[in-house]
Amino acid sequence: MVTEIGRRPAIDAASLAVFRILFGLLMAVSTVRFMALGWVGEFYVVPTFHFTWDLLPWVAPLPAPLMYGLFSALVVLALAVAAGFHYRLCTALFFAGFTYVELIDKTTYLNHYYLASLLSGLLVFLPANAVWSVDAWRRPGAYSPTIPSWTVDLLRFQIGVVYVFAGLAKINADWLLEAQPLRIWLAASSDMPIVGPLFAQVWAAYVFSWFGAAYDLAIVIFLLWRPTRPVAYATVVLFHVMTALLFPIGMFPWIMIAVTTIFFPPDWPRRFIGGRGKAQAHPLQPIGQATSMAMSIRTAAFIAVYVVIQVALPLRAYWPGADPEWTCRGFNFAWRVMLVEKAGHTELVAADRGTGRQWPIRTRDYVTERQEKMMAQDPFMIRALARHVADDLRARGAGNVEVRADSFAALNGHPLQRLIDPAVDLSAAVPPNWIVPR
Amino acid sequence: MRYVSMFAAAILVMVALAHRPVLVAGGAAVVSKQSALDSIARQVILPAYHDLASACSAFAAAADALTSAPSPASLKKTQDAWKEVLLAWRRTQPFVHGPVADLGVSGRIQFWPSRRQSVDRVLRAPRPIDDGYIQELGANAVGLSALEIMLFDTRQDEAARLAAFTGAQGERQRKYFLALARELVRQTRLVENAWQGPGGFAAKFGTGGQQQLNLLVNDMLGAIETGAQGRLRLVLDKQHEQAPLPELVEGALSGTSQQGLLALLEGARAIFSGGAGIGLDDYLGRLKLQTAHRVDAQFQKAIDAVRAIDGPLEQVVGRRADTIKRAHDECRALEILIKVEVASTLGVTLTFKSTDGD
Repeated sequence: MVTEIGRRPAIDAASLAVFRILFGLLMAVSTVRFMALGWVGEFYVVPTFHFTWDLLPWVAPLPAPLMYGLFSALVVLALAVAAGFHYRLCTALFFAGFTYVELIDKTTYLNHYYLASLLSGLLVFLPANAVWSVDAWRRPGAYSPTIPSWTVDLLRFQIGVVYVFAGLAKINADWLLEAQPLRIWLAASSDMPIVGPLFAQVWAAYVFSWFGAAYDLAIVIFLLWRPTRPVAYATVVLFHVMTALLFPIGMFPWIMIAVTTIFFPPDWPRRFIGGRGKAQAHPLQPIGQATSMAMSIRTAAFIAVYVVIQVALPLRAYWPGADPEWTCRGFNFAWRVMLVEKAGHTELVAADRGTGRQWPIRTRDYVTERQEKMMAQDPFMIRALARHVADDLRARGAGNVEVRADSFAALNGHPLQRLIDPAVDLSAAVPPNWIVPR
Repeated sequence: MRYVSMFAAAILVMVALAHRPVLVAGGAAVVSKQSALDSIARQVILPAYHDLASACSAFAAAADALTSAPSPASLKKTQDAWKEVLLAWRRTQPFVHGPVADLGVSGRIQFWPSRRQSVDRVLRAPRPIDDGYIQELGANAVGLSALEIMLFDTRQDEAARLAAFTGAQGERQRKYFLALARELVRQTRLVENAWQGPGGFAAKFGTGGQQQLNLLVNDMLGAIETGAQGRLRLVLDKQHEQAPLPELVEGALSGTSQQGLLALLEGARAIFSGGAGIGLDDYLGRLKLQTAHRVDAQFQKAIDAVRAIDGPLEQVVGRRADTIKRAHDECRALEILIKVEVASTLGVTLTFKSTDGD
């Protein structure tokens, strides 16, 4: 029985180890920051209703003490990942815990949380503890100076997918012809010392928009090509530091700066530590002799399926009529990064089908202020709350009720308009055109 | 190194270009956020607080005359002066941050709902009325609402109201009333002084940047949402209930509920238009001219609709509910326009912490 499909080059395990260390440390910092800002309580303890994902409606938060306990455990697990301590178990637990938290409520979805989930999930299967880990230090069997090249290639693919689809998403009229939403965001940062007035200029917004699109589309090629790699990585650092200064996007820039190091040659950490000319044999950690490693069919199949999923998911956004920024169809899990400045206002109205009596629903009786703001931009969340409200009213004996939405939104500086047809009962099956097209 | 130098030079050129004021037709410099904020502070908010302090001084003078020589004329003059103060106060309400909040005087200038029992308790208390006592009183026994109860108490007729200020039995009310009027002058002067001068809040306001803009838009939105639309909604919702409306409607005792609402909207529009100077509309117009025009037009519609009510809300709701409903709908349209379109065009964060990051 054939179990291998060929051999892949063996490469230095150093860059993957550094990737693990940086990723673990950043996840620990990110989780501590999340707790310190009080977001565990605000996002998962205080709300009585959560906007669950359609495929996973049963995912619910744990009781408050366990929720805080889980976040504390995530910090410890992230540090264990960084240290390479019981690496596979800790990475798997971190992936499960982190992903569970991200699946509780749609309003907390962020692209870099999704990226963190994917990377931690991949790391479970990658030998990132082969060197410079507690496991390798304690158990000689765990030590391996070389690893299969596909491990690093898979991470490069994943990060490449983020950049390329983020670039493709920027090829739209708002971004290229109106310089939106950057025009709005840069103007909001025009108070910064020295460079602030630059951001108030319309032409600057166009320069940033076009450069940003070109950067996202081309950076992977420049990172992969050896002659351009150092300059390309320097622009990665510059670009993400600038976004960190300009926009409230938390840990994302630092995560991208850290994970993009995977594009450097696998032995770059040894060169970095040992200086030039010591790439192959750092005195403390010699490279092994293997030059190629077998790749099993199972591994190849796993990679193939993963690659197909990662390419297919962002393509949902290009389905005819999707208009993801307005309808939110295909917007998530598609790397549509920094494309939207959207605000909304929604009031739910309940009506008794029998008597025709109508009355407004106080949405804040069901969701928090933060959830309400996020919901007002997303017709699917509005519909989810409408269904919940209808169920609640029926449970209280309201009988034959329907719930409609008086909902408005404005996207990227365009005039506000209705988001949802106000005549549609959102608590029942909705017609195909229930979202008002823009 | 050569490329680094070229890159740095390019950045320097761009920054230099950006610092050069760009002129529009007619030679006026393009409006910046800072110039708009600075102008709003100096041309709209500071004058509004100055008007409030002046109105309070005029009211205190009228109160002095009333308590010195109570008469139907002096009572009427004091009532009119009180209304001027209330309307001046309403015009400041679309911006509630800054000294009025920092000094903690907002509640002592006006506290709603008014508490008649608190005023009666002071009038019956044995302790002499002096500055120390007034300072110790809670917000529900001082300020415009407490004064409104004594000036406009609807349980009494005009003669009874005047009698309460007259003679030996009216001495305590006279002292209490005058002390509150003077306290009002003191509080509003405090706020005005904190705004003006080289180190005053007006000077800082202009350099507050996006954070200040966020506060300004949020406050304006809050005033329209709660102060205008919310009050109209309340009147419409409660019109058929058993509870007497005057107890629920702000300004019902003095018959100023509609005028107060109008003043609030005019104050909000003054911030938006910048009065005689640069306003939010100019800065917004630079980013999206159509939005600025739409908001301006909607302000006018809302103000016209409230003006059309033409009488105290609680008194006319029975026969002009449709007019009040139209005013409510126009205020709601204004609220949504600011909350959705203006906020997103200006990149304003509405009241909650940004969770764009982790």
